[in-house]
Order: sequence, then C-alpha cells, then structure tokens
Amino acid sequence: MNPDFELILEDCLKRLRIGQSTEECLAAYPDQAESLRSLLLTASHVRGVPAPQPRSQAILAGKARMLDAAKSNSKQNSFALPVSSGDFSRYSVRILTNLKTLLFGKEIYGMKFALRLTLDLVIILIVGGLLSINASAHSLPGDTLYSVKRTWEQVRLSLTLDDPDRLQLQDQIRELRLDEVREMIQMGRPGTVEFQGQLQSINANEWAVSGIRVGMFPDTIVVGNPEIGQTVQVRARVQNDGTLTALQVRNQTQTQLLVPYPTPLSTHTPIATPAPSLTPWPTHEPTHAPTYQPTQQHGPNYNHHDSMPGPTAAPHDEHHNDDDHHHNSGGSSSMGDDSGSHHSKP
Amino acid sequence: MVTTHTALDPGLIQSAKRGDQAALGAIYDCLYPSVFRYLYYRVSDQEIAEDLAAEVFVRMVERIGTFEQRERPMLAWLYTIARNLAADHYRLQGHVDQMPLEESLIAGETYQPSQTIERRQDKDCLAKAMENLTEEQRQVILLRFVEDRDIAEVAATLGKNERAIRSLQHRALAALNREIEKERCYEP
Repeated sequence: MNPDFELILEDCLKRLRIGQSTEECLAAYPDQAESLRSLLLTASHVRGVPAPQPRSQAILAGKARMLDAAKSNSKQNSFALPVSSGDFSRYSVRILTNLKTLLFGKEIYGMKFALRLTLDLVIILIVGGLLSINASAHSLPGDTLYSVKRTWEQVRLSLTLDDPDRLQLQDQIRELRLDEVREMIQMGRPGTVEFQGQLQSINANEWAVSGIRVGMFPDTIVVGNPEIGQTVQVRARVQNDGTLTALQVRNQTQTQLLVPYPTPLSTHTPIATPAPSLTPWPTHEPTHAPTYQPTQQHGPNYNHHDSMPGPTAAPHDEHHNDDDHHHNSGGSSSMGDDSGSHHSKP
Repeated sequence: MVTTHTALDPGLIQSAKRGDQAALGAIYDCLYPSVFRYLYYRVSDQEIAEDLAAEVFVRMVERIGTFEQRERPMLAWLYTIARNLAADHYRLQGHVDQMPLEESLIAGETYQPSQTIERRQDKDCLAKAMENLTEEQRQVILLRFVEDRDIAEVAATLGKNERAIRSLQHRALAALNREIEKERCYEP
C-alpha cells in the first residue's frame, strides 16, 4: 500500500465528512482520481445508509436483563464483595462458587464426567456414613446398625489422645452399655450383652452389678476373685422374660480398666494372664460342691500352672477327692483358654 | 461520567467491577447501540441482533472482573464477545457464516459504482456485503463510517497505530466496494 495514497484517501474522507462533494475531492487529487473514486463512493454509500438502531423496548429489556444478571452474580462473584472484606473472603467465595459449579453446574474446564461422578460418590459415602452413625445412636445389641455404633465408639476412643478425656469417654461408654442392658431387660428382648459395672451384692443365684441383677448359673464362668465394690466385666444373655443370665463375670484390674472399652462382641475375650487365684467361688457359702484339690500328681492341665498359685482357701473334703478331681479336670478342659475358675453350684 | 466511547472513565469501570448498578447501567447506555450495530452487520436481523447485544452485556457482567482497560478499550472487548456470540448463533442455526459469492451475480452484467442510484441501498444490503469482510475490515468500516469515529479513536479501539488503521481502512473500502458490487447494492 502506498502511504501517500492512504493519506490522500484520509484527507478526502475528512473533506466528505465536513460536507464537500466527491468531485471536489477528486479535483484536488487529479492523479489519484481514478483510484479514489470507487473508494470515496463506497464510503459515502456506507455513511448514507441509515445506521440500524435498536428499538427502545429492546434497549430497556436488555438493560434489565443485564442488571438482573449483575444482582445474581453479586451473590456469588468476588467482584461484588467490598474491597475491605479481604482476600480470604474473596477466595473463599470463589472456591465455594467453583465447588458449586463442579458439583451441580455444567461441565467446565474440560472436567471429565468420571471426576464428577467420583466426587459425588465420595460425598454420598460421607453423608451416608454420617447418617448411619446418627441413626445408630439408639440401636441395641442385635440391631443391624449396632456394629456401626460400636465402631464409631472405637474411632472416638482412638482419636481421643488426652488421658483424662479418654477416661471420661470410657465412662460415658460404660454408662451407655448399662443403659442398653436395662433397656433390653425392660423390653424382654433376647440378645448377648457385655458391660462393666460395680459389683454391689453377691447372693447364691444372683449378683447385682450397677443395679442390674445378673443370674448366676452353674455354667457361668467366673474369672478372678470378684469382690463387692470391685468393677467387674459381665458377658450375659438377656432372656425373653427380661432376666439376665451371666455367661462370664470377671473382675477388672486397674490396667484392664484403661484398655479401650468396649471390645467387639464378636470377639471372644481371652484372658491375657492367668487368674491369680483358682479358688472356686463362692467361698463363703457352705458347699458340698466338688472342688478342685490340686496335688502334685493330679494337677489340672493349665498351660500356666507353673506360675499359678494353688488354691488356697477352698474347703477341703477328703471324701470327695476323686469326684473333685474328675469334676475339675472336666471343668478346666471345658474352659479351654479361659484360665479362670469354673463356678459350680450344687 | 462516561467520557468517550473509546475510553471509559476508569472509576466507572472499577465501580462496575464491584457490581455497582448505576455504573453498569451507564456503560450499557453508552455502548449498547454500538454493540447492536456490530451484531446487526453480522447477523442481518434486527431482533437477533438486539437479543445477542443484550447477551453481550450479560457476559460482560459475568466477566468484568477480568477486564483491564489498559490492555484494550471496553468496546473492543465487547466486540470480541459479540463476535463469539454471533459465531455461536450461526453454529446453532446450522448457518454458514459466509454468503455465496455468486448468488447475486448475473453472468455478463457489470455494476459500476458511478451508477450510484440506489438499487438495494439499504442497510440489509450493506449488512450482506459486510459479511464477507475480514473481522478487522468490518470493525474499521463500522467505526469509521457507521459510528463516525476519527482515525485516532479507531486506532485506540482496535489497539493499532494510526498508520496501520489508514492502511486497513484503504483495504477495507476496496473490499467492501467489491462486495457491494456483488450484492448489487447499486443501481446499474
């Protein structure tokens, strides 16, 4: 392109703009007249065409539409925030907006469907888990959600690192177990329960643990030497008639009390250490029950008998030695790994 | 408040960025007609151009936080939005964004610009002729002869120097002259 010609063209266009005719301009530049003519006529033609104008109602409608969009955007977009609200607010709003778009909005930034599906599933799992935990709060042993309740308790215990808080949480869980047992007894709802409580009384067929009456039967396993006032752990079965049949009772040492509690019901609780005493219970009631009389030759087949003290306070009846031996051998074998005593009642 | 079409008051734009309704309204009042005319010469339809122009300002509101006037004037930015919307409109309509060049030509006939008694001298014919210009040529014709801006304003709007705009103006007029002949906007 010829720069001079472009300047001449611009000069002629200015002349046309101020009202001169095409011919007047061409007369000013006779050498370029041929080339200028078509361009100037085209420019005049364009200027002569009435400029399209938008209709007034369209202008108003468009303005209202824009201002509506501005209002809705001001609730989401950072530009609507006051400057003084700071970067944190601006970015938090932007993050929330993007998250909302990510989860519910149309696909943007090339985001794949799979990514959104994954995010949705994660959220569904989290929400579902929280709802399950909430729903399991009032479940009882035997309910579908009871395992969720117990698992959540274990999680809470695991996450509580501070000892005082952990002990407080353990107390709360113990009370919760007792409430569950009371509720099941009241409802006469059969099921296996496990709880800790203070041993309050000992009678022939019934013990009282934290106000709950526990039926003691010949098959009940008593581990250790529970005494009134001690904390005992009870595994029992609630019967249809609302009574409680003890399956196992054992006293808790201070160390055992610090162990995270409760333990899962499905896990059989082995006794980590042999009971300090093999003395059959009870010792205070008259008994003609066969009792184990250990001798050097006829000791029961305990794995840890070397470290165990022998029975000390058991009533001794010379005439029942053979019976005793027979009975206790059978008892010890039936206890299996339970290295505790077998409470036998007449 | 609104000074010129080319460069809006920076304070006005800052207010608009904060969602100020009055500022947004002022920008709209100032630039809507230009955006409408740009779109009219793209889609050749009054209603569609009005609707698309309104949509341009909705997009403006959504994205004004990213706009920097020192990089380019507001009108140039809106032209870009309008151009993309017009292209989307054509895609949705299944319309080819080019008119057939031979459609209006009759073999053996020639039309001289000198025979300038209007035959189809209306804005629709001009719109059809402008459809075949390049984007820059169309914008120069619009700004210089429809919006009646001088060379300096056009240069500022399109982000070019005045010499480049004069050269572009020359090419744009030559191309439009050819298209007007093809569209038979002049009486033979």
